[in-house]
Amino acid sequence: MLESIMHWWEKKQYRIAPYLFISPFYILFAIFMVYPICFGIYLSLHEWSGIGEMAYVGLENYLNLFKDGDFYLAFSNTLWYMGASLIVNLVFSLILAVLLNSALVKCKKLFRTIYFIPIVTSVVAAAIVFTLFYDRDYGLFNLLFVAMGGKPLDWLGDTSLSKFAVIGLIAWRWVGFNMVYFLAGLQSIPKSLYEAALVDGANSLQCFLKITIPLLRPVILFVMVTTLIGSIQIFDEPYVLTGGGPADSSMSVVIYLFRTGMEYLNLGYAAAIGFVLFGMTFVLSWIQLNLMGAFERKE
Amino acid sequence: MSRKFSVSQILLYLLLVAGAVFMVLPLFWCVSSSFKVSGEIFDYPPTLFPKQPTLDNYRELFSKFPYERWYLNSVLVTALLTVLSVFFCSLAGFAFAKYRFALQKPLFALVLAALIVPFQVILIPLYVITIKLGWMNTYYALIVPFMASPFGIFLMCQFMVGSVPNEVMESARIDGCSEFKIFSKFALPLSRPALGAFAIYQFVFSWNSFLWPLIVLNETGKYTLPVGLQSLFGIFYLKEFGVLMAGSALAIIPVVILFVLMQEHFVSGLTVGAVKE
Repeated sequence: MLESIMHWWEKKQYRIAPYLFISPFYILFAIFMVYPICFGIYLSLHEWSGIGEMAYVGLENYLNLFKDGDFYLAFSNTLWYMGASLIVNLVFSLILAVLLNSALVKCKKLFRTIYFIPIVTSVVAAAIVFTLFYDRDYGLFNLLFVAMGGKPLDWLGDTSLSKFAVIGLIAWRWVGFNMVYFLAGLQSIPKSLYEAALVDGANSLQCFLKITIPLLRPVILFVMVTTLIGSIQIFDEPYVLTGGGPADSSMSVVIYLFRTGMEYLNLGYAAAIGFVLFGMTFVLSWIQLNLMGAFERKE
Repeated sequence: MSRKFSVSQILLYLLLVAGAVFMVLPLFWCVSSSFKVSGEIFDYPPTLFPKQPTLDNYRELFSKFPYERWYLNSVLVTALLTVLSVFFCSLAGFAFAKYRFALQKPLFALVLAALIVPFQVILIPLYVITIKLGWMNTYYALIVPFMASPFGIFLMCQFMVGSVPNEVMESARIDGCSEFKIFSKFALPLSRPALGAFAIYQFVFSWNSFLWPLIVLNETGKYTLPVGLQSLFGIFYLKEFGVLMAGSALAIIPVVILFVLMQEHFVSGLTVGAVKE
């Protein structure tokens, strides 16, 4: 009996093995990904404080978002973060990568390592150090500012500056990380293209605009989309630096979601905010896929 | 001609070094300040190195707060999550890369679709599920929901398609190896670069994770490092910055050292799939 089972198993295991291999993953995936998404949709159609009965409200949570001034503020702050971190990450990362890729520079690996360090630091720890830098009276940034002839600024306490303070921390953590992608992209461009262009009398600016940028387009697109999707989800940096303040001036959508769910105990409404984030991410990913496709067809 | 060459070279280095200083300065400042006596942090102009180096901040950190407990929590959660998710994702990734089975394509497409779902979408439902399971203030809440990583299975599958030759699998089968043995004896060792890359990715993700632990941990003794640091920050803000710096330095420095030692894996893993010509 046992022998025949063993024999059957040996013959069949090639067919059964893949199902056994994927089942732990998919069981976890179903419980902690698929089910929460479905439950989230259900929650977002209800009003619920976590205890007692859920009250079905249809699309009211979503409709209320349009009338919610706090959500509007959080949403526009998040769009601001997306734009600012896009500019900072594209410009500074690309500049650093181009400089580092220069044939004149030795010890490239050392620089690459140093630029990459911030991304492996804990955001909370880094933000605590940055609050010290941003301090109005003792901070290092104001020291530099005053030395250059400016006035000391209250980076974390001024409603018009708090978002810049958040972007400063984000730039510090992410510029080196994105630079690594640009550097990898630059290194894959054949040197012969530049040599040919130089023979034809092109200057370095022309080389950059006509060779580097077009050939880097897939990498630029990748960095753009990952930066935008990442900044839709901004939470840690403003939460630790300013708590979303002053006067909600640095509050992101995720901070608002966190407050709605954890402090105001409005779980249905918070779930609906989650799906707005999903919508934004979905649109960006869709654009990425389409642009990627367009590139591939061209080449 | 050669003079102009060296001028641009000096300029290049100046810019690159300025960038490097900006990247390292916060870490240096954090470590340096952690050894300053209370009050010196707010000296104006600030001092680069502590005038009278002291360990008081570290003493206060460990005597008044369960800092070592937070550290242990972070280390255990990070280690368990990394090992378990690497195992589950590589096992499933191997099946997708090297077998043909029913529903293979739709199942993989489902995982790919999950790649674009931001974690915040499931934040609230997962919080409710965690309460229902009685997992508040437990390691389970920090580990189990993140073991099935869509990014992990995607990375492993991509890599294993090319790195595990079909001939090796066939000859192993003729030698009487079970399918699981083929995975553990051949596929895993052959995929070491991708395993390393994903392990480091999960490590950094878990070590720095903040929003989710902030929600599911509300007992001081159960905190992970980022949540503990945040609670210290609430207590000491604008008062005892030295203690905060000591806590931050101990949270940052070991990971930075680990990264510098293993950076080749990390960087090469990141660019898998991203920079395809």
